[in-house]
Formats: sequence, structure tokens, C-alpha cells
Amino acid sequence: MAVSLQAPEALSLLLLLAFLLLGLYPRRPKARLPHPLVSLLQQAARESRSVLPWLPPALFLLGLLLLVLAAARPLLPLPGQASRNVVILVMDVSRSMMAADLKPNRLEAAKEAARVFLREAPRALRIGLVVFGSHAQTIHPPTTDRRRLRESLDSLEFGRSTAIGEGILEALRNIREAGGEGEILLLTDGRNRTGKDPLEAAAEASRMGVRIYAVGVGVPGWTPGPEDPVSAFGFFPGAFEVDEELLWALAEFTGGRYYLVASEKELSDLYRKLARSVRPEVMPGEATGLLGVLGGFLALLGVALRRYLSPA
Amino acid sequence: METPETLLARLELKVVRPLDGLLFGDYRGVFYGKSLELAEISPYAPGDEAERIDWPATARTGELHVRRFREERELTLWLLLDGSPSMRFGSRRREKYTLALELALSVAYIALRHGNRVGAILPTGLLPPRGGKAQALLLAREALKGGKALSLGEALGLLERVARRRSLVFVFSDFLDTFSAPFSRLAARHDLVGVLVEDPLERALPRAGVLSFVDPETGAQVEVNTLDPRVREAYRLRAEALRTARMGEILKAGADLLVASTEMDLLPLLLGFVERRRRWPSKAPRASS
Amino acid sequence: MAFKSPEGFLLGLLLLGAGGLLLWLLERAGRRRLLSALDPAFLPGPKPLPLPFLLAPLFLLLAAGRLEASLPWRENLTQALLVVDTSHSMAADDEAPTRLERAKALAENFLRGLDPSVKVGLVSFGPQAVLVLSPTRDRQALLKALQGLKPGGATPLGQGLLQARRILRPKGPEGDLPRAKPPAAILLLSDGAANAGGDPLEAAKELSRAGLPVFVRPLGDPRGAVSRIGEGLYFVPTNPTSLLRLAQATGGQVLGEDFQPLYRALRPYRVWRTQTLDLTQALVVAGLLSFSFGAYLNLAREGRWP
Repeated sequence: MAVSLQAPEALSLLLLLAFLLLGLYPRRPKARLPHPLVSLLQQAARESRSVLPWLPPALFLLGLLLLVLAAARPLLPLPGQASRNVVILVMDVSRSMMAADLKPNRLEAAKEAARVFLREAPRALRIGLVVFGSHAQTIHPPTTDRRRLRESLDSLEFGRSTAIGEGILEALRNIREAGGEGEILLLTDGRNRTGKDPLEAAAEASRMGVRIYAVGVGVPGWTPGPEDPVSAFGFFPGAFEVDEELLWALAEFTGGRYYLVASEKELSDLYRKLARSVRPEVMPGEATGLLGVLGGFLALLGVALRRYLSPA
Repeated sequence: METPETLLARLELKVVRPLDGLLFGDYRGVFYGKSLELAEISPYAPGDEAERIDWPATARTGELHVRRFREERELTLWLLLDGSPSMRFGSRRREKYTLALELALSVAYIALRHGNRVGAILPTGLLPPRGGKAQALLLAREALKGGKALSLGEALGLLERVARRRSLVFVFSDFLDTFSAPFSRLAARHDLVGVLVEDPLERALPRAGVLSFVDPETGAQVEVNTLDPRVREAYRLRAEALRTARMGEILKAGADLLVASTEMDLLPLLLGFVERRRRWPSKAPRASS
Repeated sequence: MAFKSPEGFLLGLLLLGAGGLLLWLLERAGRRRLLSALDPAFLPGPKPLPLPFLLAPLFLLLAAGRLEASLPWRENLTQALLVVDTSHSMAADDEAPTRLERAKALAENFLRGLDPSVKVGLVSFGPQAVLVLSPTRDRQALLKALQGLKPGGATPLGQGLLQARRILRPKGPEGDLPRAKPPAAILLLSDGAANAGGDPLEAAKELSRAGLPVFVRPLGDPRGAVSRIGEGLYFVPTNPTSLLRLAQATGGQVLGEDFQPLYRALRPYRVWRTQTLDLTQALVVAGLLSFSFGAYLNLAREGRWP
């Protein structure tokens, strides 16, 4: 829990409070009710054991104290704040993802799984989206805005090659810019064909303390081609190409896990499970306004109580 | 503020006339009570009251004889109104002083109507005894004026000096100043009635919050937590003790006591007083037959 | 003015509204209770609520919503770029103490007399054309960067100029729009002996197209000089004529003792910008002060606070 004050010089306002407190002693409330037997009243008043008359000034003082604290711009863990750690969904958008062994095709199944992840992940978790074909590209930097992420998902296009290492590095760049804490959820269906060596990228991830969860998709055996052969120019339906060794290595180096899925349902279930297991570390937010309101409420309560107890 | 005329008119309407009606005009015990001197014993004339029959004389002469008292023409009523700051206090309906004033004026009005003379010691000073309706108006006018009043002890001393002959004396006060010495002396010479004027707020504290009170005389202030039952009880005990003490002092001095609280109606108060005086003789020396 | 946190505003409305309601209700209840003990004729008048106690919740409500103010301010978009030759030849001592040090002194003079709202950057060339400092108003940073320049390497003057153009007139979506470009100028401090990279005159043509005049201050003896650099004696040439041609080609001038022509070229070009100021803290302090002032008023009138 990170509680800190962004403007501690405001605590000097406590001097103001001390000033006011001095006015409390000696208390000389101006009496407006006449009474002929004040000496008797004085004797009787000494019998009082109640702390009720002290409640209004105590509440008021507490309220003002909270206001001083608020003026120092405190940082508190507030609900609704974005998480400190992030999860980057890294997706392979190479042509081979057009294969129809996962229904309707691998990319669509991946998108659906990603949507499941967005739904099931804690609200506060920041999620980013990176895709890679021959180059890696950040589709959306880490955010809590699920709507934007879904829109980005819908507009994914196919790339050409498969640059897994580049994908990991781009994800790491995002994590670095977002604070340096996070995890990568990588999905691919093939070997690394171009770009930086994924193992080097994994070493970088390991140095940063980022875990890679690597998912390989594809049904072993003959991979059916896409529905529309025209758009699949350059695509060669053929062997199942998941590089299990690579995925294993990525997981080992970084302390993550690797998975092989062969159906869209398995994929969605896996993503759902992973989404539920993420724990967002909530970043502290500035609680100035909230503390101010709380302080104001207490002070008002103090005033109200005083005017109730002493209407004359 | 009421004018003296409207005040008197109101009192006459609301207090005096109903009282007359209830008592059949018989104010014995108050205005021609046993404290007054016997003038003569003469034969019965129609209209005399049956209680005035002097039986020994009747038995001796065989004719009905009644006692007649001289005092009907010579009664002087003295009223002392305490105007000290503690009297200018009230919480319900009226101030204590206002209550005292209304009581005094009612009594004076009745007395004056029966041809008696009324004198007064008011906050504004001495009003020598005089008869007639005009005196009532004068009393009202003077009493309604404000101003710096004498303390009770001083007023009693003044009364001692001006009331030489035996009279009926009403002292309207809350008796919070020292009064015993001059009061006892007055009680010895006159038929003295001490009217203790009080306010319910003096006897007990209400449960009304944390209140700040001030003594109008001394300026002393105190903040009281009336929500605390301990405080209320402590006050109640002390106030009751003081009240009992005052009442005891009045009675011990030899005076008659009437307790009037600001929340009470005048009519039942006066009615009760007159009836009580009729039934039980006062402590003043009896008129011998 | 905008609320950065509408949820905060609503929460504030809820809590502070409840507080105000409680105040009103409790005041009435207290009065009623007193009425049961005293008749209205003997009741002292109601105590007025100090106004600051009503103001304070308003301030705090705005603070809860994180009110932001947009302050307009005028920004001067005019920029200048110092392009300093840091090649080997600048270590010659025909200027005291060396050509490069003289260049630094000249640059400092220039900065001293310049309008402080003009942003100035630093490019050095030799051996590479390097952007040392992006245009900034921070004069301290500039001076520090100047201090750190050291001579060495060849003289890619053309590259330096191209780098300058990239910085002062960056190609981007805005660059294509037909908008008035804010004035910019280059102060070139060099001995002119370019011997690497592209032709400076080609670069000059680009600068001219982009509206960037080059003001030159040639350094070194025009006839060249023999000077000691490091261990040996070298003949270090200069080429003031090429510098003059550069200036002419781009619409600039050769500067003499003062920088007036350059200052004139760097006319201010101000635009309105808005800066958002977060008023939250100020509003909280205002609320605190209001409550304190109200308490003080209460103290003065009734002898106690609150």
C-alpha cells in the first residue's frame, strides 16, 4: 500500500488550526438566557460527567484536520484506479492464422478468446494489444478502456511473416512505458521467421521481470486452407507448425507457462482461466477531493450538532 | 405593553368580577378578618351576616346582636412590589414581576372598591395610601414603569418606617435577597402576607440542550449541560432546598404565605387564598369578643 | 473550466448535501426542543449561521469534482538554432583561446541579448551532425550544453544544416497545411572549411525553400592559420566565402559585431494556448480557510466554535 503526500508543505496549515484551538481556551460563550439562580446552576453544572458538549468541537476539528491532510494532496489506493501492472496480449496475425482448423479460422478464434479475456479480467487491469506479422505493431497501449480495446480487436488485419521476437520486444516496450510491471500473453501458430531472435527477447523480458505465457494454436496434422483461396495468395496449407520447443523456452526463461490448444473452445477457456487469475496491483490515486468532502462533511456535522445542542 | 387603563380593565373583567361572583362579595378573612378590632356590638339589622351574631349578647338580651368592626372604614392595605432584577425573569406566559403586578393590582382594586385605602412601595418609590378608583390607575401607571428598584431589604425597611398603624400588608417578591429581620418586625406589627413569586424554570431545569445562562444582576455566566440527568437532579435538589428554606423563613417570621407561579392563573390563586384565610385563622392576635 | 471527476462531484453532492440537510434539520429540532421549555416571548432570537460555513461546502464540492481551469497564455513560437562547428579545425588557436571557445562565447552573447521567450536549440557537427539540445527556453541547459562541446572529426556542414531543417521545420501533417510558419533562423558558427558530407549549398537550397535564413559568423583568420592543435602544428584553413554564399542563398547575412539582423529576423510570433490548471488543491484550501473564518466569526459572536 503506497500512501504518500504530494504536497507536504500544506501541512503548515496545521498552524492555522493551532491558532483557532487557542481561541478555545478560555471558552466564554456569550449567554443569552437570564436566570436568577446562577450560583445554583454553577454548582449543579459541576456534576456533569457527559462528554456530549465536547462532541461538536471535536467533530469540527477532525473535519478541519482532514482538510489539511487533503490540502497536502495525498495518494491513496482508491477503488476504480487502474492497475500498476499490465497484461499485453500479443497476437500472431501472419497469413497462416487464416487456417480453418480452429473455427471459423485461427485468427477469429484468437480474437474471440481475446474478447473473453477482456470480459473476464478484473476491471482495474490495464491491457494492451500488440500484433505481429513481419513487424510488430502496438494496436493499443495498455488501458482499462475495454471498449477501445474491443474496437481495436475488430479491426485487425493480416500481416505476412511471423516475427515473434519483434512481437515480444514491442510488448516489452509497452510495458516499460506503462511502468515496467506486467505480463505477456503471446499467441502464435508458427515458427519465428523474421526479426529478432525470440530467445533474446525472452532474455530481455526475464531481465525486466516480465513473464511470458505462450500459447500455440493449431490442430496437429494436415492444416486445412482458408475458405477463400483468392485472398490466400501465397498461403500454403500444410503441416502443423507450432514450435513447441520455442514456446517451452519462452516460458522457462521468464517463469511463465506454455500451452497448446487445438480448438477454439479450448482457446477461449484458456484465456478465461488466465484472465481470472490475474491480480491487478492498484495504483494509488490522488484523494484530495475525496478527503476534502469527508472533512467538510465532518465539519458541517460538528456545526450542526452544536446548533442542535445549543439553540440559544 | 399594556396601558394602565387596559390592564385594569382586563383584570377587572378576568379576575375581580369572577372572584366577586364566586365569593359572593364576601372577602372576610382578607379584608375584614379576625385580625381587626371590634368596634361595637349592636342589634341585628337586616343584611348583616349570620356569622357575625354575637351569641352571648343575644342570650343576655334576648335580641339578636351582631358584632360590628370599626376597621371597615379604617383598613389600610399596603402592597410591596419587589422590582429587583431577579424578578424580571420569566419562562412561561409572563415575568415574575408581571405576575406580582397583576396580583397586587387585583387585590388593590378589590380593596379600593370596598372603600379602603391602598398604599404601595413600588420600584419607582413610595405611593402614600389613598382611596378611590384613581388610586388604582395611579398604582398601575407607577408599577408599569421600569427603573432601578430598591432591594427587598431596603424596601421592607422603608415600609416599616411609613406603615405606622396596623395594616394588611402584601409583600410580592421572590425573596431571594435577605429579608428576615425587617420582615419579622413587619409581621409583628401588621397582618403580613408574603407572596412568594416563582417561575417553573427556577425549580427544575428542562431537558433542552447545552444552555448558557447569565445572572442579569451580577453578570455571572454558566454553561449547563441540561441533557445530563445528573446535572438536572443536582439542580432540582438545590433549588427545592432553597425554596423550602425561603418558605420556612416567611412562615417563621410570622407571616402568611401564598405561593404564586408564573404559569398559574390569577383567579384560582386568589380564590384559594381567600378561602384558606376564611377557614383558618391567621397567626395575628385574635380580636377578643 | 471542466470537471475531471464527475463521480467525485456526485459523491460530494451526496455527502455535503446530507451535511447541509442535517444542519438545517438539527437546527430546527434544537429550537423546537427549547420552545418546550420557554415560551416564544422569552426565547432569544435565532443565531445567524456565519456565511463562510455555507461557502466552504461549495468550495469542497468543486474540489471533489476536480475542477480544472483553462488558462489562456500567449506562446511565442519563434525558434532559433545554434549550429556549431565542432570539427577538428575548430581547435585552432587563431581566435582566442580557440575557434570553438570563441564560438561558445559568441553564442552566449547571442543568448544574452535574445528575447527569453524564443526557443533555442543546439546542433553540433563534427564528426556527426548531432542534435545536442532540442529548442528550449531553458537558457541554463543551453549554456551547459555549449560548455560540453569538444572539437574533433571532420566537418559535415551539409548534414548539420539538414539536421537543422529537420528540427525547425519538421515534416508532419501540420507541415502540409497552408499555415503561416513562425519565424525561425539559424546562427551558424563555423570556420567554413567543410570537407565531409553533402554539399552545403544543396542543403542551403532546402533551407531557403523552408524559409530558414542562415546567419553566419565566420571564425578564424580568413587566410588560414598555422596553429598548434594537440601535439603538432597544422595549417588550418578557413572558408569564409562559402559561408557568405550560404547566407546569401538562404536570405541570411554575415554578422558583424552585433546580432541585430538576427534578432530582427526572430520576430515574435505569438499564439494563444490554453494551459489547464488543476484547481483541486486551491479549492480545498479555500474550503479550509472558509471553515476557519466561519469558526472565528462564531468565536467572536458567540464566544465558542464551531
